[in-house]
Amino acid sequence: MIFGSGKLFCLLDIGLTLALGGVLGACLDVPSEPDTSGKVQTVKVHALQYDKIDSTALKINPNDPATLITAVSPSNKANDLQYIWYNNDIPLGSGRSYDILPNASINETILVPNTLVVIDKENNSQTFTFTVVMNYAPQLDKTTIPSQGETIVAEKNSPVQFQWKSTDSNDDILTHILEIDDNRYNVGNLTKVFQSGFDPGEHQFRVIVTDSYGDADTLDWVHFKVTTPDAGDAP
Amino acid sequence: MMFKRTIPAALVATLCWIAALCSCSQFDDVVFNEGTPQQLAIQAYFSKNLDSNTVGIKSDTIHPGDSIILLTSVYPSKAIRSKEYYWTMDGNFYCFEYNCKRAEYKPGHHQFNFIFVDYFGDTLKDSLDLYIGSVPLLDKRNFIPANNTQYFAPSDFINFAWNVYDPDSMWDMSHHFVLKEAPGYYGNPKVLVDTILHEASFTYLKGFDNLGMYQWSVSVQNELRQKAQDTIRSTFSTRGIRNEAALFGFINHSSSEQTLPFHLWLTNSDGYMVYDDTVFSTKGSAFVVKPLNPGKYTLYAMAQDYTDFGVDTTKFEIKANQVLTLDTIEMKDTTPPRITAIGSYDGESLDYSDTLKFVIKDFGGKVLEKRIKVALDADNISSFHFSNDTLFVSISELKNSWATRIVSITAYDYSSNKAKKSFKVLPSKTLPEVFSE
Repeated sequence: MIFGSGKLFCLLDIGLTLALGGVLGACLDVPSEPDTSGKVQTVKVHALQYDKIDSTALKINPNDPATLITAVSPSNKANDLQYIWYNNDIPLGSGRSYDILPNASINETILVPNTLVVIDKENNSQTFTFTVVMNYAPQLDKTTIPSQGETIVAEKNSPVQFQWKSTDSNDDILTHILEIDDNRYNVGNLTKVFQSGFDPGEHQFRVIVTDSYGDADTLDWVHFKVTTPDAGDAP
Repeated sequence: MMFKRTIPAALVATLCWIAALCSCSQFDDVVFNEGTPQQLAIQAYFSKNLDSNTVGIKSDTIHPGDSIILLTSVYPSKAIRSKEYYWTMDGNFYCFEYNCKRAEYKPGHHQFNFIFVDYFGDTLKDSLDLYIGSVPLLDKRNFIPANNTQYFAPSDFINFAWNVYDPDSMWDMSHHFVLKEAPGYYGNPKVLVDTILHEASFTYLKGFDNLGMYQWSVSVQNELRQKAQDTIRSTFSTRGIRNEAALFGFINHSSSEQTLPFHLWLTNSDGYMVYDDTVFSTKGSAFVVKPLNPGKYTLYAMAQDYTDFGVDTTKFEIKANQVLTLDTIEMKDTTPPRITAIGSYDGESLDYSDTLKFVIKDFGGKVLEKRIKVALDADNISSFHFSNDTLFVSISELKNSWATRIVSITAYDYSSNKAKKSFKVLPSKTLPEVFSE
């Protein structure tokens, strides 16, 4: 009985549905699902430098060669498209990738694409805009206090000065990590600190500077020696 | 073939059903009764336990791994008919129950929604906010400058830096940085900086006094107001001019009396007194002696008018530009009060009188009546009073006593030294005299 009733309702349901469908079918010309199999789904621009692909920030170091590459999905359609690279309205070149040559000097301004126009065989075109971040890595000066091999006269409680210089062509905010022997200090934007607690003997320090894009420079270990003052000497 | 048979059947069935509805319904009876509307409401909240009577909150902050309890109230009752109800977390299904208890781990802000779909298909929703964050970690060992760094030039710009670690790598940190003079200056130590920072470093540019000692401290909390367990507390000092030095010290005493005057004097290696002052010491009071020439010294400390504390002697050597901090001078009174009986021939016995008099003296602070006990034989008595070092004891039982009795006096000084002395009270009457009366 249960199955019988269910069957009856089922048939009724299908009947109603079909009847409604027939009415709708008479009124609407519903298009079939578009065939996307032969069409390009996405075109993205990536930056390639040091064998690493940056697909988000498009960050490159202008001091070294880099390439902008296009990632087309599906990939087998990539060769069916034409790519033209622009800096605003200035055409810079064409092709699936665009090579960015390193700066000849730091003062030189090079034009870098910020627009990609993609054209298919039917001459349909689509324009993509993007920004390539030209980020110079921060630099640490080799000159430091203490200097390499310096001998410092200090008691254990005496403050020993550590000073270094870091630069960034982009004027990014820089953060520094100071490593003294086995201790690590996040010193933020400071470039000069005093630290104490050094026993007589050999010590070493180094600095790591990082900009807001994560680019970094690391100083080689600087070795210095601490000796105690002679008796009677003022610290 | 099947479609051809079912389509007419469906139409017929539908028409029959509509006809039946029309014939069965008495439309005049379907009248909205405004007298019996029932307001439906839901309320969701966090709770400490599954007791629905507990006070709930709409927003909570927990550590990763803590359990949360989600409770709901439905008005007029959870027994009313509903289509469905469930919880979501950040838009995703969470649980089907009215009340849920579960541990949560993912740091960040999460929104919980309780969804209630009533019998008529209306949807009601109530939201809760949950913040999951780990307590920041403050490195109390490695910081700049290290604790007790000395010889800073007073004009130096001192940079302070410390390490803070956010296990979640997502929260902003607030650093409470305080820089102040160390105790030892006359008056209250001056606070130089008391500020909230959003980075783990600070530069003080205004310079310092010569031979100054300074304290700085850092405590950290994240934006969820979760405080780091550790706090940095550190000191540093500045150098003098012309190689002068300074002495910092603390003086403490064993007396429960709040403030005692201590006489401090300092002699150099030639025996000349180079410093002489009185420090009114509460617990751990600081003192500073500056400027001092480099050399060897002896520091004497004595409590004025409280000779029970004796004299403390500290020898030290101080270097040029050094700010030397001595270990705390602990002045201890180990001498108990002295108890004597007025009128005693031998210090142990005394004749009966209506009021027995004893002298209780202490040189480590004033003796108080509340710190004195008097006993006759083994029983404490309360018929005494103490005034100007004299204890007056009146014991009526002794009046008609023909036997020798023992009166014991116990006294404590401010340093909890105890003195107990017993005296024989000789009877004034004989046994026959007592009985004849």
